[in-house]
Amino acid sequence: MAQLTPLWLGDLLAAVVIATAVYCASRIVYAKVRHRATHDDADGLHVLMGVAMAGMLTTHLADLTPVRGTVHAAWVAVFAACTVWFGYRAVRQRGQAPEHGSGTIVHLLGSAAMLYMLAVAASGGAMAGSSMSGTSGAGSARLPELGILLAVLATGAAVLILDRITSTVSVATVTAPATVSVSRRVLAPRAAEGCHLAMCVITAYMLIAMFA
Amino acid sequence: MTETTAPVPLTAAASRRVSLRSLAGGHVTTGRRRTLQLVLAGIWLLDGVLQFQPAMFTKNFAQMVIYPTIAGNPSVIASPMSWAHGIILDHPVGTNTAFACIQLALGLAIAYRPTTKLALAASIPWSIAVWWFGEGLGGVLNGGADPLTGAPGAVILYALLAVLLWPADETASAPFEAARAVGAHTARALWLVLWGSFVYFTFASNNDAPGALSGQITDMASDEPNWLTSVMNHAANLTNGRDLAISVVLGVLFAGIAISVYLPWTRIQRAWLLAALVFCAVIWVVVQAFGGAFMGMATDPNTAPLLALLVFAYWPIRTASRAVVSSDSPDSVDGGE
Repeated sequence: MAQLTPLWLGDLLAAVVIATAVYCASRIVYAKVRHRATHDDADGLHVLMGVAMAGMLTTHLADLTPVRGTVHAAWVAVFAACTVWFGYRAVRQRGQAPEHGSGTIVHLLGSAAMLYMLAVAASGGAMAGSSMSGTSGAGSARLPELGILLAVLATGAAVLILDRITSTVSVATVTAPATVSVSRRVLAPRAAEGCHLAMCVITAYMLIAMFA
Repeated sequence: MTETTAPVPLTAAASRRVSLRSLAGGHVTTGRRRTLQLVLAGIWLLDGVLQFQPAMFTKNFAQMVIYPTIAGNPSVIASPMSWAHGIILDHPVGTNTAFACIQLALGLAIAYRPTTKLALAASIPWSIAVWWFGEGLGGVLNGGADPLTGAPGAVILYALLAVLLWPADETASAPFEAARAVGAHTARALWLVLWGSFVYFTFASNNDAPGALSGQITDMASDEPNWLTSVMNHAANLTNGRDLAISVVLGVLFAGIAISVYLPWTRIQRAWLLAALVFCAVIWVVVQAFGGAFMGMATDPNTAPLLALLVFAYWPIRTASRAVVSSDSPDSVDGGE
């Protein structure tokens, strides 16, 4: 297996998602201390995704995301809750300006993708060379169409995030909720978008790699 | 988090707008053109992700993807391909890492407005190099080109799209988006050459030989998800023994699409372009099997999505709704059309 798969790539990507998780955790703490506005739920999701994805990406951290047992069930429950939460928020934000609703859609996508990957891992198909492999093989993933669709949506989200970062409208107005006051400017909105971007690209990679 | 509503000062945004415009070379692309660029960026990004599939880091990439495209090409084309194949075969991890990173970077850089031009420019030589060394010119010279299965090679369409979607002045009048960067005459000529070549490839090779199409579909159908295999096998049965008739129908369709952009009647143009979209959708599912995305060795989504993107680039612009906005207006760079 080691000869067939780029283990170093999994380690590298695991380092990226862990760094993202640590950064997002620090954003939550810093914002509370300094009374700055953040999207706590989005940062929290990135913390959870970072930990879970690291366990899927590298064998060194496989214990973080086992494919069966209580911990696996807990992860499924957590991401199911996240999916419901962001789905609820997306419904509530219908009709608002796209810049406010689109971030929620991206988080909903991330939550759903994590649920899908956990389900596929439990059913035997998983990323070759990852900690969740073992019975992997082409076509072993359940509902591969959904996996491909989620991967395409994740790449699309990454592209839209990059475009939004560099659109000429103020980043603060794009990423801040409509009712955030001037006195509580959103903490490092570009860095937050960078986290979204990294998570989207790595999620797309993981979804695609499930079919290899 | 919910306090008083107040607008965020736009001083910083205004200065950023100025620097963005200078970085983008004077044109800040918005609306439909930017959407097309973003779709292209997304496809490049997807290509990069596909290139990171574990199987691509093995010798299988050189042997199963590159090597089959060498056969039948003239030696002047095939010799450099063999040389590149040898390098990839000897260094699969290093070369594939480079390929994947380049494609990933192209996708991200096209989406990132300050580097859109740079990335589009860089994508052209890269696409041509991959078209030659990786796709054997899409089978154009070895008789294997078939518009249904991916002629003239997906990657050369990326180069064409980079040219046609180059950031351009959107305040100028144009019949369709592709005409803005290169002019209507050149854009129409490129379209004519592309779809006209499909007519040629349909009849020039062995694509109208008995059983050719059904055989190709059957080959692609193996190892796909059950429902897709079922659809493709059904299509293979339907086409079996009807190759010549199908080739004639496709020839007429391609010819109509090719000349449609020259027609003065917008409704008829749209009808032909709609037919092109339907053609793209059908072959992407039935013949190209979504670019083989479920097989673990796909390097791109094949030609159908790129042809569809081209169709949208040539879709007639409604004069009444054309985005003619002042480039100095904040609204013109902040939003859509």
